[in-house]
Amino acid sequence: MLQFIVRRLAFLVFTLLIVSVVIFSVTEVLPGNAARSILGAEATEQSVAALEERLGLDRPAWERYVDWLFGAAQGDFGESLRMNVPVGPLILERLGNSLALAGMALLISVPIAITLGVIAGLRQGKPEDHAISVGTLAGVSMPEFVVGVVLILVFASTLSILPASSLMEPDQNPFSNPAILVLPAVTLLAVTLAHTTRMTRASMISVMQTDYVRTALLKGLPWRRVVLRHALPNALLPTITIIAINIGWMIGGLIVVETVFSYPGLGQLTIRAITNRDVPLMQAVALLITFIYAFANLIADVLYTILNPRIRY
Amino acid sequence: MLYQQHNPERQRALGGITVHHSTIAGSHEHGHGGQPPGEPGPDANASYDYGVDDTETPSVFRQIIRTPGVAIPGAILLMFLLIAVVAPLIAPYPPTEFHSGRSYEGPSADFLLGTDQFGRDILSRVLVGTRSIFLVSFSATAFGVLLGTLVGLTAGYYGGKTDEIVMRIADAVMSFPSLLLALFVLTMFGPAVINVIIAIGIVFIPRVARIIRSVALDIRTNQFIQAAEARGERGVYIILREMLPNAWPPIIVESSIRVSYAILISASLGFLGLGVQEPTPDWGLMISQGRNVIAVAPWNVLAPAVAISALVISTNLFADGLSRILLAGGRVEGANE
Amino acid sequence: MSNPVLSIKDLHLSYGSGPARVRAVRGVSFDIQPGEVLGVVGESGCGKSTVGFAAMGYVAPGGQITHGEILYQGHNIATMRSRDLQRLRGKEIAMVFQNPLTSLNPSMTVGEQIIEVLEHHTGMRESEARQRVIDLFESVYLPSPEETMHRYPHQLSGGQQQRVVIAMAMACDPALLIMDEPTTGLDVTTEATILDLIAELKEKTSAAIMYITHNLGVIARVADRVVVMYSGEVAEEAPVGEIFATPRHPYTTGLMGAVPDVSRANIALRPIPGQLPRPGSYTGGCPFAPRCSYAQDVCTESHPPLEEVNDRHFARCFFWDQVSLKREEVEVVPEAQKPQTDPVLKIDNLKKYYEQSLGILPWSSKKRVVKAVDGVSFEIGEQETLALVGESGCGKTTLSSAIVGLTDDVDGEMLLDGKKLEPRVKKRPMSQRQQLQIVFQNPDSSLNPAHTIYEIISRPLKLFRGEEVKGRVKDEVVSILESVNLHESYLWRYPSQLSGGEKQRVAIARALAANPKVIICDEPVSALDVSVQATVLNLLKKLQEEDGYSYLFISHDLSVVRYLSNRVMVMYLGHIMEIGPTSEVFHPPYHPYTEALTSAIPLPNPQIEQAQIRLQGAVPSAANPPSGCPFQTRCPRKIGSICEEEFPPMQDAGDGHQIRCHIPLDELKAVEPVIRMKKGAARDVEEVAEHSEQPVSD
Ligand code: SF4
Ligand code: SF4
Repeated sequence: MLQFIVRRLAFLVFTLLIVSVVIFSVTEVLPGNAARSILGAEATEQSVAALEERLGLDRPAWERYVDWLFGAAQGDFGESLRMNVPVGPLILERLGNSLALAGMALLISVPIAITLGVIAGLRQGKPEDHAISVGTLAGVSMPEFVVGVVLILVFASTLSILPASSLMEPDQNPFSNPAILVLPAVTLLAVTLAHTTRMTRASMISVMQTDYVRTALLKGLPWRRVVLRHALPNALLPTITIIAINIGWMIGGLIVVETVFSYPGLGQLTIRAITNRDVPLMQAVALLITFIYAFANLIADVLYTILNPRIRY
Repeated sequence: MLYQQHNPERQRALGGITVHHSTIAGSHEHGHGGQPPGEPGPDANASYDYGVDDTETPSVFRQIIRTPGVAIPGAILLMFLLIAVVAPLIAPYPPTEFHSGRSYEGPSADFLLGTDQFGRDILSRVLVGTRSIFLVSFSATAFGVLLGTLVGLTAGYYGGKTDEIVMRIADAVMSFPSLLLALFVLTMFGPAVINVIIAIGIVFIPRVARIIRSVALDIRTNQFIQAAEARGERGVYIILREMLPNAWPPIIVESSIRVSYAILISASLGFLGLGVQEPTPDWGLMISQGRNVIAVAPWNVLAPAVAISALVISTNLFADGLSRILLAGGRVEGANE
Repeated sequence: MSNPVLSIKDLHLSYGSGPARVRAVRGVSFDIQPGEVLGVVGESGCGKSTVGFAAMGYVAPGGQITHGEILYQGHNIATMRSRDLQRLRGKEIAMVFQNPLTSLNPSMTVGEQIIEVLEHHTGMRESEARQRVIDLFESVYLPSPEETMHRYPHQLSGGQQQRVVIAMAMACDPALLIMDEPTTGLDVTTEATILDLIAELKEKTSAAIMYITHNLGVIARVADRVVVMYSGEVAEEAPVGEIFATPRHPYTTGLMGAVPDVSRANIALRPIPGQLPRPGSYTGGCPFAPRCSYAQDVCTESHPPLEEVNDRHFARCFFWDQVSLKREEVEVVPEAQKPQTDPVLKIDNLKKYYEQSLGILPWSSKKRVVKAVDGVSFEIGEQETLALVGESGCGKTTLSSAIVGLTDDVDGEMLLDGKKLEPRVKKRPMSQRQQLQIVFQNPDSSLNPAHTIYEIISRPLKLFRGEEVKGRVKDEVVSILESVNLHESYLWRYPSQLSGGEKQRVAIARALAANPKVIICDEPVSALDVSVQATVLNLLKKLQEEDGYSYLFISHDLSVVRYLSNRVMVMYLGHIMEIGPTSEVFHPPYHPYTEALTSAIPLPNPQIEQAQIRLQGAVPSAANPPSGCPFQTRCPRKIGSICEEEFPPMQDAGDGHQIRCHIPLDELKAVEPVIRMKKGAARDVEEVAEHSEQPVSD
């Protein structure tokens, strides 16, 4: 078991290294002169040169990469070019806000999704299943920004019961004004809920068709016990992986949702970094997001292994 | 076994020749002919054969038409496609034409769906916007599925080290969430239609590769691969002539699913301002711009929102139905993102 | 006669509805008495399992009972409410399934899975139930029951899993036990121990047992009475002795003539012509009519009733009184003799080891060596069939893939026609690839479903004989097809449009297309239904006689081997334990392993007595083989520490018959033959003996 975790950790490090190289090279080959493209066409030669020096662009790429990597390993991602603040604390703060949002969506959506998925799976082909399936299919199909904008239209513009934007003062945290969390969280939830439900349904259906569920039935066990004791544990195992995949999905969703609601989280920061060509910020955000996603997958894999008696190390 | 068992009939049906389906769903006799892995066991019951049968099972096209759950979304998709083709002809105004002094007008006889901040006709923009979304999502899907399939088949066929390396890289690339990766690629190349296509395509490659690889691993267990190897056939022949023809159904299903993801991603990119650029009409961008005036001119947002939802929902329904027709086990949930 | 435990009356069951409706079971009736084992035998699609599940009140989704009664102790299961059914299932009616691994819940320990049955049905407390499980495990001879209880299904071997399933079925002392192919998929020695266990259970309980199988040999061993099913109907019903001695339905006689039997080695197999009907293809008349040699017009016009032969014997045939087993009239296949020619294929000290990484970390240096094939030497002469016999994990698959060149890193020498064979097929010259062809086990898997028959056969033709057949590829394909008895009209069909036997013939045709010298046949009939196996076996025989191919015939089925091969080679854990002419190998002196294998074969002949030699435990892992003799951990004749310490030598028993064992040859020669005629055996066997060149007990 320990070995397995070590192996997964090794893979995590490997992934992050690859990703860091990719991120670094991508930001490296940004079209044109990085410094000029950041400062704009009117910038003077001096200021360009100054920025280049500040960015360390006069040194060879691999040297800068190593420097950056060591800095990153210690939590030092340099300074944001536009906001002129250290990147580390900035993304930490934003990360907190995003986690609050994503965590809330996850906490609410997972239990509901599993319940709906199990119901649909058990009642396959029945009206309940059709309703859930079609509903979730629509959920999967709606882009987050469409859901978000429609929610704003209904609850903010028309009913005026919730704020349309989730702007915060720098020292505020999302829980000081929970109302601003509601719409973004619901938007995020709608999409992940649909995904998890569909996947749980599929897994439930396949488990209900297994020989061992039939065995349990033919042992004369009551239906409830067959479902709860035999089908469910086996059906929920893959759900762990599904939730991890969902986290990746959610990060993508966060970028959009935070933009829709001007919610000061990691996603919004990402967009800002990209549109501003704020290289250090971009690198840091990308690395962090990858880390979160890869780490979620690692946790899921480890959990899966612990809970699955078929795999024992 | 998911794909392999049901491929023969479906494969043929796709080619237009119709073949019977020789097993009966739900009958016990066929349900559990399993045999432990490893060497062949004494399982004389492993083959279920009932001889030649000339009764025709409807072709895939027929089945689609007969299933309303697939036929209706299919028809909607066709309609969208048609609109994309003839949009400039049926649009009441050129989509980029300004009507000064008439910005943010509500729906009227002149402008059926109202106007935007420059007084451009929203209906025309939505209609013409169909073009870019189709262009982007289909091209990106074709690009991603083509490369992904090749990578997946190759990794699945060669296995071992090749597979390990390719899949590790794919895993690493996949640890970028799709949208983020697309954003990065776009930042690298700059926003332009062709770059959006490339960006989405790149996002798709490892994901398609992963699915097709599992299909390939499945096909690879068949002894016709060993038979080909024993003849000394080259890898290229085996991949293209022996494996690919059996991978079509999952490839087609995967493509249809990918199209819907491509629409979602490209719309999101548009919304974030990194997709198709002004003045070309783009649904995502229209929503993004309309969002600021949602209180006063909601039609700016509603029209493209409805269009996009209808398109993605019908694509998804169609993909779902197609997978039910083409693949026995239905859509492989969980493998996508 | 006491009241039957189960009485099925005119059962009709169908799947689907409308025009697609499949009438899978039509008018099946039979009774089972307490303490009786009723064997239900038939080939795939005959509806036997469907009837078995129906007896538990279980019909697969999409199916429904359309007519008839299933009376359990007088209560009709077909119309029972699910609450009442639940009370019966697992308690009074229990089932043993075909595939034990998938039938057990992978995420529960096997102990828990039985305890829950006990708790639910008997209200036992946990501690009582626990004790009961231990007792049950002891009664099915599971090793260390207390530990086994806490294991998960995948941690047990296939045989142990099936013992668990049997223990689970026996948990509440059911009055009716339904066994659905419980030994299919198990190795023959494991199968034998499970069959012994079932026989023992039968003695111990008064339960009625319905035993479903496709294997006539198994039926002969376990059943008291037999129901033969064909195409959803009962074809014949009779006590076991009678059904084997005087079958009265043409299908039953056909089956018996089509199944090879070690004890009747010299009788030619006669396949049943035609192919199995698809379920649901029934249109009227006698379903067997298209394949029946007794058929007359009346057979297609009206449906034959179940005629009474005597008060316990019934046959659904108009002409049952004309039907008899004409075994004595068939031609006798000459005993195969080893041709005296130079070897076509010579394998010398072939070894295939591979490393298995033990550590989880990719760079871990902990490795162990798996010796899949460990020093194997043999040769095959021209027009000779050498059979390779062994159970799962003996290395026979590795050996065959090494010979066709699909394996890296093999040690030792392979010579084809005196010329060295490179280990990798890619490195072999075209002519060698051409001379060595392979026919795989399962044609569903070995024929690409996306290619037409023409494409499948023309590929090797163009590849290997491109010059020779230039311009007349199609004609050549047609003539090859004809040589495997397939008509030209098959050219443009796809494999899925062919029946199992036809597909395997196409696979053989593909091998022939290369015009080879040696064909490796890797279990070529084990995936086929018994009534069509004979077609393929006879075809292989005919082709060899006409064109002089040499076969390496890999099989787990000793009966098939006995029928087809000149010489036999028995493998165990990567070593050849015995090799010799077929008749010698089936005759003492035996290697102790061969003796056990022979004793384990379920023989479709109740008048034959087999010594009961059983192997304990499972085949050890090739990664961790026993010291000394590879067979020592399971050998019933082990003679002591020498077996554990020294690798046994090959002893020469003359005539090319060699045995790898420490026991002196004289002692091995003195061993009783495994297969003997029962004292006072009835007519049938005696007649057979008269017409064969050798005594039955060879
Ligand atoms: S009824 Fe006729 S066709 Fe049927 S088994 Fe008897 S003789 Fe043959
Ligand atoms: S050498 Fe010993 S253990 Fe091996 S087969 Fe002979 S008697 Fe048995």
